[in-house]
Amino acid sequence: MDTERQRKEAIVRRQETSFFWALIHVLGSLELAILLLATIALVCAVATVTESNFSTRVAQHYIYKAPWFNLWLTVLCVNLFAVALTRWPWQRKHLGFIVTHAGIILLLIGAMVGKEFGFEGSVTLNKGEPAKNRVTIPRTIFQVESPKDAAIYTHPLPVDVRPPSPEKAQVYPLPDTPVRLRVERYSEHLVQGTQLAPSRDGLPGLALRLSSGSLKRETMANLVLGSPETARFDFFGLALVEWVEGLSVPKPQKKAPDFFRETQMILAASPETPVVHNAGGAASGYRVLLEPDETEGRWKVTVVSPAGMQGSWPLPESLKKTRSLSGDPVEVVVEEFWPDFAMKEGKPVSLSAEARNPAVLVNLKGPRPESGAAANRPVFQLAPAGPDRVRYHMLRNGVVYGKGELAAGETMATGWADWQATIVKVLPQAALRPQVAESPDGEGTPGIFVRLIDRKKQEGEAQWIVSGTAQALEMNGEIIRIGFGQGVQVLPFWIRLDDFEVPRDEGTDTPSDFISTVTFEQPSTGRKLTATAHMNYPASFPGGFWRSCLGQNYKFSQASWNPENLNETTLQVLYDPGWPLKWFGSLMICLGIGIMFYFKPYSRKKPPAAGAPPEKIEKDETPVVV
Amino acid sequence: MKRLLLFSGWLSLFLAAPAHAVLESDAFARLAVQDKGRKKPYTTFARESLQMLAGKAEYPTPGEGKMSAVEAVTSLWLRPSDWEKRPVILINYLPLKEALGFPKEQKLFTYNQIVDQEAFRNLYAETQKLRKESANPTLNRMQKEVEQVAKRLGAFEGLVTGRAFAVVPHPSQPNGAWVTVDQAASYYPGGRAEKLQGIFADYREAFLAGKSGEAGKSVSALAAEAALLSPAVYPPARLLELEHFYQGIHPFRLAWIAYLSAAIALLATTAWKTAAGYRIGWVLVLAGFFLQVSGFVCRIVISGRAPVTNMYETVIWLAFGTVLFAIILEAIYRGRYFLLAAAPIAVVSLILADNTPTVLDSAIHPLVPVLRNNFWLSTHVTSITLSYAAFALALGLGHIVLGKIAFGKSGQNLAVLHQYVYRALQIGVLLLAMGTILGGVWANYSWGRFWDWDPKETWALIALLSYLVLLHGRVAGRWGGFGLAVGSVLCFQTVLMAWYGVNFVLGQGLHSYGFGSGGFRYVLMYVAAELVFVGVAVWKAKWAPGLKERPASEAEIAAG
Repeated sequence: MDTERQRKEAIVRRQETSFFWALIHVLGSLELAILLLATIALVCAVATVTESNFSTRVAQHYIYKAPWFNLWLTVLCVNLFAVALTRWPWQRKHLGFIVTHAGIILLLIGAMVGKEFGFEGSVTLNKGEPAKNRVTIPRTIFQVESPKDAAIYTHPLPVDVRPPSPEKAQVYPLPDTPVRLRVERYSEHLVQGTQLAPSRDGLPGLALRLSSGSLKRETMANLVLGSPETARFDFFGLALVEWVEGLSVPKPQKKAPDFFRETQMILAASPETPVVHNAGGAASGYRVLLEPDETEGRWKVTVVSPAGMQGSWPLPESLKKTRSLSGDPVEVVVEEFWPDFAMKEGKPVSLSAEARNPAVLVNLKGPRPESGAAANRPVFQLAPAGPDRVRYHMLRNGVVYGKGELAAGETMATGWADWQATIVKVLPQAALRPQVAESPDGEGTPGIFVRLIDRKKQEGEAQWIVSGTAQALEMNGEIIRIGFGQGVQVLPFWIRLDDFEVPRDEGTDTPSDFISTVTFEQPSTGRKLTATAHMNYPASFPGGFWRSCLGQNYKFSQASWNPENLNETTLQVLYDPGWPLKWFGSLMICLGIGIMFYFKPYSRKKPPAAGAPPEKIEKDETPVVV
Repeated sequence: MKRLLLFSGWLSLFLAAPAHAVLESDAFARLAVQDKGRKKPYTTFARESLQMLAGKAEYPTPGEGKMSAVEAVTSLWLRPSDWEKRPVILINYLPLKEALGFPKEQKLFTYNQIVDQEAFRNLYAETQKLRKESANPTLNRMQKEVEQVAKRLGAFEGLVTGRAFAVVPHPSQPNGAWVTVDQAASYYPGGRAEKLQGIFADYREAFLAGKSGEAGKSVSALAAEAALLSPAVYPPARLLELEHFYQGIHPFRLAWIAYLSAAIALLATTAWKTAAGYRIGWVLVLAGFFLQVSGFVCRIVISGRAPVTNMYETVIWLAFGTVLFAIILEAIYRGRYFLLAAAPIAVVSLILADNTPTVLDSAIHPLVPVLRNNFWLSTHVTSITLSYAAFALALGLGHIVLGKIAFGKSGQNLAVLHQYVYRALQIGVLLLAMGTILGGVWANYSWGRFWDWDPKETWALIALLSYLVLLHGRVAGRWGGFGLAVGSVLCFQTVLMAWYGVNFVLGQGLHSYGFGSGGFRYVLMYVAAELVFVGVAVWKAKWAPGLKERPASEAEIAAG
């Protein structure tokens, strides 16, 4: 007890005599520890609510991954380190305490190492695609090519957490040039369209707006004379808008009927992937299904026309007989039926009479289905009629049912539901220019709206840059190329998807696992490895036990899939050199807490007798370690 | 002893209750159905289907008493036209009933009543649109409820069209899709299907004629014939029977009855026949614990995984853990309080699990792919939920301390109770730290990162930090044993947030397989009640000088 008292006195004394020890005792004070623990808990609670109300990226950007939060964690590290020092010289009873605190420090250092020297990203792979070595980092950036030496510079641009707006534009300096980049807008719904622009050697052009009040939709038709591609606008397949030199009524054409002849082979096990062979070229669009016949306990063949006409015939009675669909001229002949299909010596055979793997071969013959429908579509024909004026008429089946003249800015009803047409612009000499615009119906890709500015606040022309592309921007004769998109990390090896499987829960479509088989290839070492990544079991490259322990492996975990494309898989990529520190720190924390609570020499009073009323114990026994 | 006798009498009453349906349902237990990705006894299928449709285990028919789940579901199958006019689809959410113009008091509605409502169709179209736009849309409560009702409508359609009754096994693949009796010929040509269909026709006839004896025989024959068609694929009879047994005896219900009796016995004998009451309490707690363990064993055998995969299972697991730690600590300290603290908590959680089927779904479903790993399930999830259990025990002990202060006489010495609270907190902190770290290691493999501030991760950390503040504050002398008791109640609210709140309130993040809805108002009421209780106790402690705690003195620190 005497040495114990001496130790305590020494600890008190050194704080009075040495500034270093006084500082250590302040930094390692319990008060500071409690303050840190409580504030971190509180901040985290606020962050989860922020995440729920805004988005994960916002919570990460402003709180979890913000510099001040990291600073706070660093202060926690310092506090943990200092508090361990305050107990110096350590004694046996401090073992658990030291191990725990050192474990937390190691864990936090591991996290910082991982953040600084490792990376997290994702890569989407498709079966049959060439190998990739580029991984997407979940962070948006812009890249600029230096006008001096064509070197590429990358700068973070967190548009998804801090979207720029015309009022809150973001200005970034560019390397090797006095002009700067101003990011004015961010949109997630950009689509590629066209724009009607004056052109000295162009032909007459028309910009027409079609809008529907009840559907709250509008669409632009930008047309230029010269070719059917630029002078025609297909209105959702329901009608046709034509921009012509002069109005005319086309004679109803008598085309020679276009016939097709098609063979389809269908396995009942994979109804979505028929083997189609069409003698005339493109597939006819008829669907053939092989299904169990509910009433007879047999199988039946069903043929569905593109227009939705349907016919079903039982097997094997309908074999080799010509059948047709009601209201459709197609002829259907079921050539073969194999109840238990297999390929033997290159020939299809049935292994048995039992319906284990039914398959069917069907021949289809008939006129091409599209030719009939298109002729009935209404046609809205417009022709130039002097400056800013057009003449129009509406046709159906070669009959004019409405006509008139419109000036720019005027609107007319089309007679197609409540759609209205507005003449926006008529140009005597025009050309179509590709143009990126925001889509009104919430589809498309992300992009930024930027322009160059100089010190005198002069502005260059603004442009959209779609994610994953680059644009040349001009200012005072200087041309600067700017790219925008997700950050990219280049791996020192290549990865290719060999196979992707999605096993399902029995009798349902619910996935029970996702299994990607990938091949890694490292040209520099010649190392090649085929591995599988499935849920909970990542694929590692270059692989090996020690690399895994030391965090030197690239880990590919199954991250997501595309239910509509089963050849596509997305893998999460992790390279984390901080891993051993995290792992070892974690182990120390658990061990340390265990030692602290359960393997500590502290004097316990004799336990109270069984069932005795506990009120007899006088002293608060809650142990306190110092 | 008298008490024990009384209790066993009570038990047998309980077991006897469903006896009237035994004959037929036993025959049905051997008939397997492939449903929602799993093969299960027809009895379970019926119970889950009715639970899904009506939120009830039995269907109340006006004037005719109650229909068992098997009766109701079989009737839906074989006599579908009867059900056009029977209200069987549950709508539980008041604003939805208001939106559809339905009476507030009514809970069950007919299929046509709902489907004919244009308002419902519009609401459903809205959720479908959101689902189309994004893979993980954020739905509000109304939209979630609408989807739930749509699921019930779908389940109803599956039953009345007979589509849901996939009782004919796949001929070869263990994971292949099963078909209905009508479609049997597609798998079993050459007369084998006809035999099965013949037996089924007999059954249908007997059922429609109301001859229950013959119907029972036909069901047994049907099950035997179906098993014979594909013996390798058909689940073994003993597994089907085990599940039927498990569903029939309600082990967790029996367990809460035992725990409740234990709590009553312990409370009633605090001042009278103390030793005898203590012994009875022990016996009852051990009996309840044994029942719970048996229930878990059944569930593990049936599902083939650790029983901690959804909210229902974790609530039961919490009761189990709380009692487990109470038994261990009580065996060491013999202070009576551990049992007294644990029993009410176990009772409350087991009653909740037993009686809120729409919030806590007791059905065994296949797991989402990421959870299909027994190693991580049985390390990470069990240690996390066991830590919640230890904190719940600390909460119970804290309640005893605060209760004694708020309602007891002054001048008591509660030091030993404070130590008990501390013991429970220690277990919780160790397990929560371990569980959270194990979660990080698991996430490193399954999601490809150790820690990324997912809401569940973050709230586990917040809970851990709040308990660390509690323990460090104690070391710093900011508060004493009374502070620990107050803290054990307050900090448990962070556990509640990590456990219930993230899944049911925030509904964000990667732990999405546990998400659900319902019960929010009651949880809020509980939290408010706890705060009031703590407030009263603190106020009382301040005003009654005899009770006032002092922080640990320098001398005590030196002694430590």
